[in-house]
Amino acid sequence: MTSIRIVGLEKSFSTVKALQNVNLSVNPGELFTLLGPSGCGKTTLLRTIAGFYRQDAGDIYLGDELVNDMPAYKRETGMVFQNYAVFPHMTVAENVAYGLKVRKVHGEEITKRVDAALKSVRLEGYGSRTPDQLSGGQQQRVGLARALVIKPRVLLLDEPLSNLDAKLRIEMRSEIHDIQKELGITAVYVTHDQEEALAISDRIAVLASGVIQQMGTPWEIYKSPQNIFVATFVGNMNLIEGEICGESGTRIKVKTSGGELIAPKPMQSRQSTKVLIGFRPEEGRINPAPDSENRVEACIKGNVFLGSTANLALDLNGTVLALEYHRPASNNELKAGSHIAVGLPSQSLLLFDPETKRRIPAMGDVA
Amino acid sequence: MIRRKGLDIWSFVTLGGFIIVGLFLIYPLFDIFRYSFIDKDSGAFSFCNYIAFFSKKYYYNAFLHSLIMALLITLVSVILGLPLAFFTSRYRIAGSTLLNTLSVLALLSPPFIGAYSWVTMLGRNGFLRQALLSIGINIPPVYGLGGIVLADSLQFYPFVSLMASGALMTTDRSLEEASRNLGARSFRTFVSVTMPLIMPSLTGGALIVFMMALSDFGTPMIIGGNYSVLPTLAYNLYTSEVAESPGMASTVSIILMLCASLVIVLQQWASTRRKYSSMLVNRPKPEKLHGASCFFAHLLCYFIVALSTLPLAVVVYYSFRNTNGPVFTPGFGIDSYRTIFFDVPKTVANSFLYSLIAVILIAVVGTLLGFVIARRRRLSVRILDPLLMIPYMVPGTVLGIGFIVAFNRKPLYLAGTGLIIIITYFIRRLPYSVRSASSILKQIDPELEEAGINLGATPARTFNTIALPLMKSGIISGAVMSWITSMNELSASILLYVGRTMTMPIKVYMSVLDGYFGTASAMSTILLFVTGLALYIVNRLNGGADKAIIS
Repeated sequence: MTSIRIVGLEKSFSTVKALQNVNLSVNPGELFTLLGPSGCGKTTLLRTIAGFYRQDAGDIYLGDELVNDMPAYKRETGMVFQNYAVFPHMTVAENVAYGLKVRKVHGEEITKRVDAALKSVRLEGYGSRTPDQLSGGQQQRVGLARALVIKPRVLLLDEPLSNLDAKLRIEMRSEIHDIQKELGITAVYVTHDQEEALAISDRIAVLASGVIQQMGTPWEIYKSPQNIFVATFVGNMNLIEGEICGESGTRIKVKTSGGELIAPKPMQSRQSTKVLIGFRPEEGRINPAPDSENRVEACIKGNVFLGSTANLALDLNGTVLALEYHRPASNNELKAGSHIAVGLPSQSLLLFDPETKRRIPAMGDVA
Repeated sequence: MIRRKGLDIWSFVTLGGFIIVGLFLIYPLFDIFRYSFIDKDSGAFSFCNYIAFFSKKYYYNAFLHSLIMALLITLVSVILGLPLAFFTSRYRIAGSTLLNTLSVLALLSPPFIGAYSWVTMLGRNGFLRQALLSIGINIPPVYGLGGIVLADSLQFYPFVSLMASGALMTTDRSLEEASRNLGARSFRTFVSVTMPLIMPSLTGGALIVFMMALSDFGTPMIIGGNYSVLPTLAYNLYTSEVAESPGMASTVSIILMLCASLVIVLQQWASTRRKYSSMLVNRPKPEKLHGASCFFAHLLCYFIVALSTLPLAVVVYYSFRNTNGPVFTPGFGIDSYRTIFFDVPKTVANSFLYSLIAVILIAVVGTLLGFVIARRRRLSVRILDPLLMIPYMVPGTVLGIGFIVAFNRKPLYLAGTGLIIIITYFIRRLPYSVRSASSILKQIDPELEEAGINLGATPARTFNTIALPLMKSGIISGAVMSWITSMNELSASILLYVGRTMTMPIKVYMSVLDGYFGTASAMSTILLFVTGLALYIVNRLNGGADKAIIS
């Protein structure tokens, strides 16, 4: 099991800064995800680890070994590609055997290891097929088997599921997770799909414009996002503009267009500071008890039925809010145009600084 | 793309590319350029050659003739090629595969075969002309501008039809359906939607024709009579001037090259303009025609192709006629073939040997350079890339004059060797090979090679085990195309050959001049057969020679 350590990594393409001062460590056996929108630098970072790009500055360590000057073909990083990159002129078995032949493993051992690798990705008996006889999901399994069979120091996965259809994606991601845990191999996983990242990762680094925005477990990333970008990129986050207008104990009062809201008190708070109040769509309560806190009146703009849930679009005096509620009933009250009461439990509210776009930590938070 | 510092095998390939370009293109072309500014009498630097060119009618007429001729040939090619493309790609024409094959065969046939065949038909004593005379119709002999346009248009029009039908078959059908849905009739739809969509390809094809016509040497030489054009003028000037100081021939060459470069620039511009044929999901389906329109569509297509195949058929026919020296005698036999194999077996052997060696060189060097250009966009490669395209704009006559001037002295004395002919073939065809290799590679996902590298294979091993096998069929069909053009090369080698390095196209040309039509026909038939065979191979390899021609 090999760790990965990246120190002060910088990379530019002509004038575009693809990576800026990236520092991170991946623990042995960990599944570490690089998450961000396209063009954020996540793939650049992965390819720099693989040795396909040479960084402008900074160091990459695999285990204790500095690999800055090591060519890609010596790095022993098994990569799984977005477009599968299965060699079309070779059979499935030949594809998987390729890396072993390069390593001059002898014939019998190759057969044995290829069979074992194909078995681990549930492709037994497919060895003599050619790639054009395989579905996308099967091709990606070949890619995975081919990367794993060489027993690489680390496994690198570059959006491996983005070309598969939705159902297969969910199936494959748990398979990748299981295989990775079973082998105990250190893995770096690149994706733009936040749900995938939450589902599969031990830890996540969220990237934007070549800068790491936040690093943490899926729970930390979702529950305490450090800035507006992370808050809105991972999951949905409603934002209501407001101004601090009073405090009592561990609470503050914030004046908004929808009325006064109570929120957890930040470490430092001053009267009439402008803030953005954030809350997740699933935190809102519909028709709460009349005397419950943060009860506001809103107008329904739309109601989208999604089966197990429904999404409401609400207008709170000019601010558009999204609300998600479970087990929707066929309810005439929730038709567009009607008014409802919504409760926003104060402990679920987060505060952001509209200037710096950063989270304003509340008193009880471990930031 | 793998970016590493330091030298690897590809650095040496790039260096090799620069050496080839420097030695076999820049050096001889610069020599011509230099000579074009030297006054032959005093040996001093002077513009007198250029002044003479534009002041003496004998010279500037050739320039005007070239432009008029190329324009007419382009026009006729579009008139022949566009309807053929339209009907064969949009409607079901019985035997359209045959039509396609025959027109491609005409396109790739030896460059002067048409000219010489039309001479045997419509020349002073041409059998067709005599036959018409006997029933009282007197048409003038075919020599001159009309003959050149006739022969060249019927050879080059497939460039237009191939490019146009390529575009016609890949335009999105729903665009035309949208036009009809909005109320436009078929003709209006064709003019306002279809034509603009295929215009870039049509322009591209027309410009290729213009270029081929402009630099064609064999046809004007054989059928042109007194109609002098730039390539024949340069050739005649060169062969009559003292070899050490080819002043005027150099000037003509430079002017010819400038015209050609201009056309190439136009063609590049046309081909980089937006192509609309991207959506491959909704290709048009050929419709079935009925009644009179069906009849006339077939008549038109078959007439065009038959007309362009006629010269080839005549040549094959004459090759089996009995001859007595230059005179055809009654009856059929294989005398002409016997003459070739007993009298000039060396010529046949030379053609095969030289073109084979050249093709191997072209395939190997072209593939390596194509890889560098597709996969390594370093500064040095970005400089090399356009340099490698120079041969596109150098007509064979110009290259031939450049070679004989530059390699007729130390340090590289190659005149009179077979090597200089091989190098000529090599350099003339190299850009096609480089470009086809790099365009094949651009269709291969670089991730495949990265996967190889990632699995521990060195760059060289990755190239051998992944890129090369995937490029194989493309490389072979490209090589076969190079082989055809090398076998049929005339315009440069005619300046460079000596008796013992004579090749088949040169022999055909000499036989035509001497009036030995039997020998010329038999030799041409052999070339034609070889061309047809090569085409068959290409077709088997990638399901269509069309792609190899227009790429």
